[in-house]
Amino acid sequence: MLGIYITAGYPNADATIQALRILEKAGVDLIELGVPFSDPLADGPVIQKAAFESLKQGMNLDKIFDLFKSSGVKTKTVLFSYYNPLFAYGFDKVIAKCKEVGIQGALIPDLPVDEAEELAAQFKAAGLDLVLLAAITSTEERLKRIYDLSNPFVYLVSRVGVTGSDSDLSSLRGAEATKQSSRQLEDVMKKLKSFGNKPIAIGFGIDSKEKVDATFKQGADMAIIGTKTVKLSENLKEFESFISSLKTKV
Amino acid sequence: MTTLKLAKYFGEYGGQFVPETLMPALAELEACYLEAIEDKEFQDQLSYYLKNYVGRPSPLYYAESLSKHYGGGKIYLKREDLNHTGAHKINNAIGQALLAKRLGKKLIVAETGAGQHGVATATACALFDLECKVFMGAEDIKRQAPNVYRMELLGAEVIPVESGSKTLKDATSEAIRYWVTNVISTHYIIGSTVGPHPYPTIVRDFQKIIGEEVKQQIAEIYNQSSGLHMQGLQEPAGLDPKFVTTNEELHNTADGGLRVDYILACVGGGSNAMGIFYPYLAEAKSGVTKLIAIEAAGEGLDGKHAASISKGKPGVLHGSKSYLLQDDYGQVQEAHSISAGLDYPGIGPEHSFLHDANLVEYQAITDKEALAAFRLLCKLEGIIPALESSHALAYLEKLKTNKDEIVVLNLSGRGDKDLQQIRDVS
Repeated sequence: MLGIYITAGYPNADATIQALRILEKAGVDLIELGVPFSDPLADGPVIQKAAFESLKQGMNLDKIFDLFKSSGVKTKTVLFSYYNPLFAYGFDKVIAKCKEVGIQGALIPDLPVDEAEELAAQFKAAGLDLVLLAAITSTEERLKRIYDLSNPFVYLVSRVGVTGSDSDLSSLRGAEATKQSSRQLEDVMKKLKSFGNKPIAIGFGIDSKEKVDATFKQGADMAIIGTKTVKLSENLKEFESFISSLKTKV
Repeated sequence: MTTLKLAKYFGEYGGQFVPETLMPALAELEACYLEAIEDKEFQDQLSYYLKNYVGRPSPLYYAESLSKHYGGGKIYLKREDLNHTGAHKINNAIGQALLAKRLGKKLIVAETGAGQHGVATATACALFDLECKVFMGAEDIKRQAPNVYRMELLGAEVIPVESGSKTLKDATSEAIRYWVTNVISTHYIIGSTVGPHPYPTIVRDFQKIIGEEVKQQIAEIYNQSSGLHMQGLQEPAGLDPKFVTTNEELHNTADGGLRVDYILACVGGGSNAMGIFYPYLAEAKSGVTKLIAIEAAGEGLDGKHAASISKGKPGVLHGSKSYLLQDDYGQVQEAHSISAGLDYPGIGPEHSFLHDANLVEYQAITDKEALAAFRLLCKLEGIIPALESSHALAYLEKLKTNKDEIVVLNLSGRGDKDLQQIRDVS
């Protein structure tokens, strides 16, 4: 399976509507519709810039719901949003609007499982999904709690770090960024798989067909691409041809 | 021995709103801290460096001219500006650097606004042989050039942050991103009572020595004066009669010290304020002591400012829930203050709790008022205060006190770093 992240409103609202339609036409399995935030702690420079540009043009959650509705897209879509834009909007209202426009849930990168229980129950009661993120630093006990609470899949962050291709992140490079071990990722994947049959998605740093394939070899059920597709959304032709180049039999 | 975990929330504020990648490091830090505070060797080491390296206790100075100028009660200044590196920030930096060593981490990342926390962290890293990276907003690098040079002299790498408003908020975001990327090898020394749990608690605990010393120093002043009185010794010249004529009713507090009527501190993230307030929370609850925190009103509360509690609403920034300057859609707004150290759109979660519980009063002071107070202290007392602390000083203009009342003001830092900026706006 393939999941694609785009930042809503980047490079502009119309482009986002078109990008959504392209993703549906290409048959991607999941769309992560990024809600721009002023302080995206888990994002590298590309998505930071996209969020900044989008906000500068006045994008907000009301407009995001509207543009999604007008796209007519039925592909499974979740909001990818930091906690504060949803909190400020009000979670009751977020849920009502998601149901109204056909968005099926949310993924909140700064909401760890410890803070997520109440919200997960609220989403579940409304028939929506709250996707949680697991990390390769997570302890086994945490992985189990994340696995149990996350629906309909678990999002495993591929490495210690923020979103983006390796080449974008040189300014954040410290002692360990260069020696990420795929071994650690495999270990965490094995543990998650041992808990049951819930699909596992891998994201962060996936920017090519080769990396998508490698992700499946590591045992992932879904590969998620973000930074690369945000970059390409500046030119929808390139965006479309990149998406179709990824068509992969799983 | 306590095995209890620290409380993650102050009322509804605080928490841990960070990427999962950081969660194990936060748990590890909490466990390490809980062990450390029970470990006599750690405490002895911390006390040793605070005494012999930082120069604690910092004096509690009776500002006689300033008191006379206002014509009300006695004003005491807690001289955190006299600490090594010139501000209260070193208390926390030394404590956390010792924690980093205990964690076995040799790499340190920090954010800085005015540069005081950056300098303090760079200093602690030089002292304990740790590698130090400091993220600092490009705008702040411009207005705090001397501190940038200091950090570099101390062996730290200062990394300019060009995103957003290029100030403390963005430096903090970038420091957290760096930490997310290097969390296995690196300890993040956060500079204020902000961030995800357990940081607000740890930073407050490393700063509460300020208020603890005030209690002791006030008690010493009281004992000395009553001692003099009892022994019939001659009143030392220049000492106020209050020191030798004890008014039991006025002086009596539960722990036998002088009663402090008001404690004033400026607040950005809130660490110097938490440090001096925390030991006085019982007195605040019983109504004996009034705690007043002063936010930065910048150009005015209707314009650009940094008054998170006065004008913000609860939200989540940098890992915890607290009052926050934000728009209706939860986008964090750019703060403004002439003082880089207060130029932050959030505030520590414990402050939000203390505000809602009516235990601390939050006021705001403009850039202009702070500058006037800065000049006044220079002239009246021969002390050049930091622009941050000048906000607390400016509130003295508004505070009406009686002759027999006592005000303690946390002079959190010295103003050498601000001279260029003040010359430029003059």
